[in-house]
Amino acid sequence: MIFKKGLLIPSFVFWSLLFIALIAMAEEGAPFIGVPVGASPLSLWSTGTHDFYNYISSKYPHTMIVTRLDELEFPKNAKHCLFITISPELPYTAEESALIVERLARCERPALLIADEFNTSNTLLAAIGSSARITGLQLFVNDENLGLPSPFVAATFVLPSGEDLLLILDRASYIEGGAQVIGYVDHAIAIDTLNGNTIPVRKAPVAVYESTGHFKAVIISDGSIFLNQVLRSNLSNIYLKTLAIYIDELCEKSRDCRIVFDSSKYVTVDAENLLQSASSGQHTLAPEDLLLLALLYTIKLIHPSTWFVHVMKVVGDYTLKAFTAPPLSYVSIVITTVLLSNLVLQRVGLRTRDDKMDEVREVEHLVTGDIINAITKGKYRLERKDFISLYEIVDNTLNYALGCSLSDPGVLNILARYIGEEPARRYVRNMTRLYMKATGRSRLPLVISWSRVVKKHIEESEKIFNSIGLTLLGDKGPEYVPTV
Amino acid sequence: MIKATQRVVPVVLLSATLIIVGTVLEPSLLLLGLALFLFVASMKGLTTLEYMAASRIATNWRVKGSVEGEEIIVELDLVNNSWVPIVFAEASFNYSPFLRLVQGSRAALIALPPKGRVIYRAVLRARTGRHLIGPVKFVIRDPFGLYRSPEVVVSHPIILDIRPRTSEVVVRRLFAYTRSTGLTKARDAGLGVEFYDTRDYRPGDEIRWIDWKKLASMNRLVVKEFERETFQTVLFLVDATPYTTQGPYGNTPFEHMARVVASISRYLGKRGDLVGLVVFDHRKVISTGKLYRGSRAFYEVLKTLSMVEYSSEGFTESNRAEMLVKAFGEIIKMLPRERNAVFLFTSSWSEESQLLVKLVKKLSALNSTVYVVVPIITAYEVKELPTWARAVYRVKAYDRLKKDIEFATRLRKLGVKVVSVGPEHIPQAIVAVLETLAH
Repeated sequence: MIFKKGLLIPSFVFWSLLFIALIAMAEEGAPFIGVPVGASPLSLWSTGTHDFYNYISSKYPHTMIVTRLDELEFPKNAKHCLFITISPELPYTAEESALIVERLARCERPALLIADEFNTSNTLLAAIGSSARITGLQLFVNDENLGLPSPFVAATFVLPSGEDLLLILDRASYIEGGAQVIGYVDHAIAIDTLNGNTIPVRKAPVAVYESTGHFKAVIISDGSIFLNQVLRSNLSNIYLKTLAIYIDELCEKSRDCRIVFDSSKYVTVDAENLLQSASSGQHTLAPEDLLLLALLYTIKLIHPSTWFVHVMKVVGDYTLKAFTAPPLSYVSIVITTVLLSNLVLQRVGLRTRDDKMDEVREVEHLVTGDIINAITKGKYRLERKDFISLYEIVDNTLNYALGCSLSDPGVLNILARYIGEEPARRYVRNMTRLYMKATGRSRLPLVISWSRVVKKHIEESEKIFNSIGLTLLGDKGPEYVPTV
Repeated sequence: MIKATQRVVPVVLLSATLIIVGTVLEPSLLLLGLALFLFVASMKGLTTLEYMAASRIATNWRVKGSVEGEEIIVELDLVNNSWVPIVFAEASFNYSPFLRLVQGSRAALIALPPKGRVIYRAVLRARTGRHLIGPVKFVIRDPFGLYRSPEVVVSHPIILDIRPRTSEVVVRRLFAYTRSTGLTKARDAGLGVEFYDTRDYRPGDEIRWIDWKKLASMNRLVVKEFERETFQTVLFLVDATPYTTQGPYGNTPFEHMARVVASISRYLGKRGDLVGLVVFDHRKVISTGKLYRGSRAFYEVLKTLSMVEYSSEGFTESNRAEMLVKAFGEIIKMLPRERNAVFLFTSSWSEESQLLVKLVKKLSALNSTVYVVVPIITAYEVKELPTWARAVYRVKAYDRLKKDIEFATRLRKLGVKVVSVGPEHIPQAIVAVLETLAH
């Protein structure tokens, strides 16, 4: 079996498809580099909660994030399910709340962890039958140093073990209702941000626990304790410890607890706009956030929609100049023609010489073909050895026909009867003398041209032969002298 | 499969130029350039279609003539069964290089319409032996010669066996010769052609031999008696290797020997002698298989001689010796126990002549009288020359003549009987030997 190396996809096809893809991408436009702002579990910014998500998912393997509520699913035989929403920026509608409740209800022991400074989650609380409501009244304390109210309030959290932990909250709200208060601010001022009214409060609930029969819920009126910047600070242990305790409580420490972080209620902002607004001072971003944004923005820069059209325009302008402005245009046309022709000829396939087909060559081999060719073309010379041959032919033939050879003494008389005495004598004498000369037995006579001598004696021999009924020229010659 | 020729290059260059100039400068030229390119592509398609149609051409051979010297008329029907016209087909008619084309052409340009038929006719001069006629090959091109197909064999070769011509003149001369010399008369009464005497009728005699004149005149029922012919066994062993198939067209030593063997076989067959033949060429040994009598003998001899194949490729004397050994093996298989005459027709040998002598002696020891017939090569080839050149040829080729004579002489000295005469005298020389052996 012979294997041939070849391309699965020809280069031309590959580059063509690539070019088409670039055009399509350029037409499609740059992607929207969406950066989720707010306390989204997807957000790596300082104001995101991705670190909290990572921490929980390391303890509870069945932890996931949903970006759309229709993705919310719990397996039918799940025992523990927990829905977490932290500082949602968009309110839950009644339909959405009902969907969440319906999905959670598939579990045996559903639970919720809601951290919200405003009343965005109240619909959801109502949907699960909780009495707790986040009022939106923000709690402040007087900052003696600044002489101004400060949103950083110290809240006491009562852990299930009975231990108390003090956590600093930022813009926590007053919670009404709820079955059991698990976190409170001792002395604070509740400010209505809508009308600016202030109400001094004592032991203002900032975290409650409620069990509504089927659902359990922990409601905390501040999402800041979940933020990346808090969990990355040097106080992260305390916060994580507290939050982990509540998660454990809600999941009853079951590793099979299905935990879902909701990321559908956050606004996505374009990275480029975010960078611009940060540079103009509208947003404050940490240095690592800036670096991340810059990296994301690079993706937009390398996208074909940013540079492709410009490159094509430049190429097009130069190409047009190359093909329209003489004398460069002539050179360009010639080069392109040659390249295109070469490409086409390669595609056209192998070339072959268009020769005529071979014809039969009739053969005729002659044993003495070289002699025959030489004689018919006139390219022969008669030499000394040819005279010897002639003498022997004549000698044999006369021996057969007359019974005596040229060297016999009686040959003269016999020949004289056919051609006359004088011609016979002359012939025999010449033949004999020349034979002695040709065989090297005599130096005489002098021979200038053996060719002429042989020809002459061939003619004379033919006359002799004719006189005795033989021939050197006919069909039957000396070869017919029998040797049987 | 279909390849572009050198003519494609300028057309593609022109097309590319028109496309480039059309794209950049003059749009009206772009279409022309594209049209030219498409034209080139379509020619390839056309050539491919025609090539496929050519591959499916149906053929039928018709051959007239089967005897040497005659004209063999060869006709080939070419039928295009497809709907594709074959417009430019270059055809090549191949045949054995040892034959001569007398009429017709070795190459042609053929146009075969769809569902059409063309008859290709050629006339060759027949020559004894087995020859191939064909194959016929086509090469397809488009009308502009831009593309060319590979060769396609349209018709495979056929085999033609040509019988040697017998010379009626030779046969009659043989009968006349033997009658005049009294060689065929056995002087015994029996079955024969010559009237011998009359005798009384015996029951069982054929009515046609009754002498009605004597019955009418003498009232006596007598029948005519004829001379009994003597019968014998004659085997011919013919060398048809390249050493004897070289020479003038139709007059090589082998072809001449084939005519002689055929003529003598006819003569011997009529006489009632048993005849067998073994021929060896460059690659095989062919024989009549057994001895035959009468017209059957003649037929088998002709058939065997017509199966000889010619070759001109490297064939040495040692190859020849190998074939000779095989041929002798065949001869021995056919030998009957009675005395036989074996005639080996071959040309002179140089290195392996000892082997030839050895085989001849072996055959002689098996109750056979063996004669080696050595034709004189120069006697055949001199006829190629005009009269004025023959004397010079005979002088120049005398060494070759001496070689043949010396070979014959050497064989005789080693105790081998040799017939070394000119071609015209061979038949009489052989018959004279036969008749001598018969008595």
